[in-house]
Amino acid sequence: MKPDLALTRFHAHLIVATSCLLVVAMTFLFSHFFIESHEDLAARVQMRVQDVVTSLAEYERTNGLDGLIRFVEAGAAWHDPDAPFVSVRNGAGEVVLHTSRDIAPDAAWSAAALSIRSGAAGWGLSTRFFHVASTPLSQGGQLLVGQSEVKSAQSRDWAVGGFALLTFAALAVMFLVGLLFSGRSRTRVEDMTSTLFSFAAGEMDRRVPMSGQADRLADLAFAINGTLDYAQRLLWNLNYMSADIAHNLKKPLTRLRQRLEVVSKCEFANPDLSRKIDEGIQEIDSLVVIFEALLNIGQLQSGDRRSRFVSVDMPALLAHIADIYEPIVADHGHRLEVCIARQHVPPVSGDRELLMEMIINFLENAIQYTPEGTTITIGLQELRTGFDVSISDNGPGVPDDEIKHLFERFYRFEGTRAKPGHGLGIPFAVAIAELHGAYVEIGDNKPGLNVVVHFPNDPFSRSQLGLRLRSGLHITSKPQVSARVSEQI
Amino acid sequence: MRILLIEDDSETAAFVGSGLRQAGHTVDVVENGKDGVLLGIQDDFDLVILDRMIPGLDGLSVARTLRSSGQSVPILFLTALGSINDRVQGLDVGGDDYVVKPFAFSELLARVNALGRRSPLRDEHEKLCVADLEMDVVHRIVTRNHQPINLLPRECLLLEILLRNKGRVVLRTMLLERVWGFRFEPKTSVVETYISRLRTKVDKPFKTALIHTVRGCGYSIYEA
Repeated sequence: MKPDLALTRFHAHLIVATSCLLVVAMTFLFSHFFIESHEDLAARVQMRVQDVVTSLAEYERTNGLDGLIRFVEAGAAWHDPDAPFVSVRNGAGEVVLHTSRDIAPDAAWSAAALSIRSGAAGWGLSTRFFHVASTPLSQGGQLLVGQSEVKSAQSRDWAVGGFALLTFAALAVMFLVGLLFSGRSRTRVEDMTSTLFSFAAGEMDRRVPMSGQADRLADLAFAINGTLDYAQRLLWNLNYMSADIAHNLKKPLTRLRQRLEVVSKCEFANPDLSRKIDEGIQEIDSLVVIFEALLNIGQLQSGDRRSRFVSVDMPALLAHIADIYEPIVADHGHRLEVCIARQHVPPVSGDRELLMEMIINFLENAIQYTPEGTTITIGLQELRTGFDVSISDNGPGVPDDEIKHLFERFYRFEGTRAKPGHGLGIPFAVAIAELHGAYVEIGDNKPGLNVVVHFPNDPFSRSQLGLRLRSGLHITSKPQVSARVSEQI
Repeated sequence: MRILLIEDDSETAAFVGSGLRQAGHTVDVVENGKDGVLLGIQDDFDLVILDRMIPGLDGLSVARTLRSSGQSVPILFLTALGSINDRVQGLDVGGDDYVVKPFAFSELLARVNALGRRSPLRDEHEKLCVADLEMDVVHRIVTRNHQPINLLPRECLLLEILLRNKGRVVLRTMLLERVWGFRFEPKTSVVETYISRLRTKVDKPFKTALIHTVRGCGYSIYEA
């Protein structure tokens, strides 16, 4: 099962895309700002060090080198927190004074040798740019004044921090907004899904609540409600139509049968005539049987009867049926085996009479259509997902390619055509199974036929919905069906 | 029996009415639901036969009105609406039996007779008998010619129903409903098999057979 994420995949994609765009835009903006401000700052620092070096050179001319060194070391001039540093080399090229702790003398002096008169110290984010100016001293040696772009670096650090913070905040806001929107549309989609599921489970009056917003989801909700209205109207029509047919078709049939019955009581010279009349009555009766069976299948499929469900003890029901049918099975020269695991089969919510009719239908098929000496087995097997009721025999069975046709209305298998019947027994039983959220599989028992009615634990849950209307599809292509079902889930 | 027939189709009403009269019942016919309710409440009938789709007031409402006015008269629905849901609805509003059109008159008659004879309270020492066959209903003891006969519970119930309708036809469908709880026609010979087992125990060892088959219809127990 898919983890239940609060975000829909669409919204997640949207958020990721917007975030990337935001980061790129912010980076571009920041770089531009940084480069501009850096150039400006560098020019000002260059000017300043040039000023300082000129003044210090003058000081040296009047006070001598020692005076200069004392002056610098005393630090009298450096009240400025962003003070420049001073480096002095004597005539031999040895560094006699260096006031910077951050920038090594070598780095400072080699920068002075460059035409741009600036350098960088440190790595990564702690990189400091510095600018230097140097001048020869009157008594030999050289004086160098440098200043690192502390202010510039600070402002850059602030900018980087601000940038990161801003980006993060923007992302968070975007995520929250996305979550909000996504949550809202998610609730609406959820409404639609649950409405469709409950409609399919027989709650015909349920519709998607309309939010009043005019967007594509509202369009979808509108379309769903319209379709459900249409489906409901079709079902109503079907029910009305059966009532109409019942009234208008059965009235003449009833009169016809009554007339034939009156006539059949008369004495005829020709015994053939009397037989023909009886056959006519039988034909009318069988017409009515087919008609009722079709109506019943239709009504079962509409799910109306679920409102009358009670708790049914399946093992007891099977035992009851086996008890009734034991003598009938014996009379037909068959043997009946009952394998009922009584342990933990939960009661089924259902209609006891219909469930009984369904099982008897399959059992009587086995009795009727197998030769003498066949063993018929009624089984109940507990599974992790529910339980199986099976009616199997070791008779001649049905060829694989015929099995799927058994689920069709009016289909009669070659071997059974000689026996009475209309080919509506299995469709009727399948309709009962589906009314109960169960589904029917018919397969090869090797030898014989194996009919399995699978009752899932939670028949009207969403994951079962796909399976519900699929009796008969399982036998031919099992993997394909399960693939189709998982697509639905 | 005095029977009220509420049926709007005159041909069916005439067919049912004349058949019931021939069988010795008195039949009053009305064509719409409102008259049916009025008559049903005023007069004391032994049975109401009710169509469902009738003008005035539909059959279900007629049955509901009769029941809510305190009438406990047996009601038999005779209707074209024959699906499972329709039957359930009919029995829900207080109907006692449900016959679907088109119908065989013999079936209707058997069901009418069965409804008319309902509800004698069970006597503690109630004994049912035909010829030399006796059944103690409470203790489920069956004897014939003073020899005890061992019957399984379902065979016993089958025999009891036949004995309670001594001399009259009991339909296969009525037996299916009462003995097995089947409201459908099984494809195999359930009733025949059980009747044949019952005959083996009750009739075979003795000179005369008491259980008789009524062709195409049902069974009857009587002394020939």
